[in-house]
Amino acid sequence: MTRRLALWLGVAVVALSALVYASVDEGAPRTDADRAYAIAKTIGCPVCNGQSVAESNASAARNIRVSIAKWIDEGRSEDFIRAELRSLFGDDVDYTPSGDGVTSLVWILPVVFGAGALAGLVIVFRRWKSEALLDASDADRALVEAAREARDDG
Amino acid sequence: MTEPPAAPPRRTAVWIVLPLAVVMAGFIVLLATRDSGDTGFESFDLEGKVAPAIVGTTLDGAAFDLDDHRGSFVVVNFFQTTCIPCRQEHPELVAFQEAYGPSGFATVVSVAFDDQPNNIREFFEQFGGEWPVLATDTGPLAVAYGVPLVPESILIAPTGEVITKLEGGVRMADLEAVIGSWQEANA
Repeated sequence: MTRRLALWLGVAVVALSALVYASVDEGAPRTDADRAYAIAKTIGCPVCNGQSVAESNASAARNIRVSIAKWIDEGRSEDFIRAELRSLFGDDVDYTPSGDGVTSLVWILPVVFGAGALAGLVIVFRRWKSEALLDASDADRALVEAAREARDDG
Repeated sequence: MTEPPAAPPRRTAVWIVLPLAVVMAGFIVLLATRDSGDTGFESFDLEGKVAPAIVGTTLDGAAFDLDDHRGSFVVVNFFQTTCIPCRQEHPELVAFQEAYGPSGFATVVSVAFDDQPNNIREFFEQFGGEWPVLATDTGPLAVAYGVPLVPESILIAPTGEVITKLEGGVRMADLEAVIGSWQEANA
């Protein structure tokens, strides 16, 4: 393994670790109010245009906020709350895309395009590297020498 | 001096871009042909299920429990005093209650939707209606019955199951028709 490859591998490991840590770690334990607000931010108000129940002041949104807080007090899970609201007001109230059916493309496409972009970068870098290592032939050297002489004479 | 042989054309980029283009095209076709989301948030998943519990204190201070009304049809009416369709439907509910309430065949229970007790008292004094009215902490009830707007009425069978939800202003004739259909189906 070359030193350069080891360096790049190290960078990749650090970046990946940071990404995993950031996505998994939830920090300090949150309060019930924090949990309720976090869920309310990702539940659409059934009678509003594009507002979450956390943002909207409509009666329906206020009712749902109260219900979310009540369910959390009762010890219900986030999955239960989302499923309950989807069954009562339709799937569209849940702003968190599921991993099923067409919606799964939301998760798959970024990975596909990310992999494509990464592959493209690798190819470009390899091409640049191979072009930089081209050896000049005798004919090339003769051509350069002739050009220099012509310049010096001129 | 001879020219160096031309390098073969590089095809790698094509093999990367092509699958991505195919995926993208498929995605566009899928979205273009999929049913639009115009149906929005409409959903009612309670039909045929046991009605969510309604337990509370009425505007008059009496205890109310939906389970105490097993054996009767119950019209759970979500309303708001400032809502015009609610005012328009109210005489229909009064007529329904007067026709079927005394015999115990059916009853109306009103659930205030984000409203003040004083406004509700004035509303019933003005428009009439002798049935239980729940006025406080009713938000979770509206959510439990999937009610985002008023007026909406949920018809509950004597067995305690939800028969249907009637959106917008309800009419006595519609209630009678739904009850008749349910009785025929469950005779």
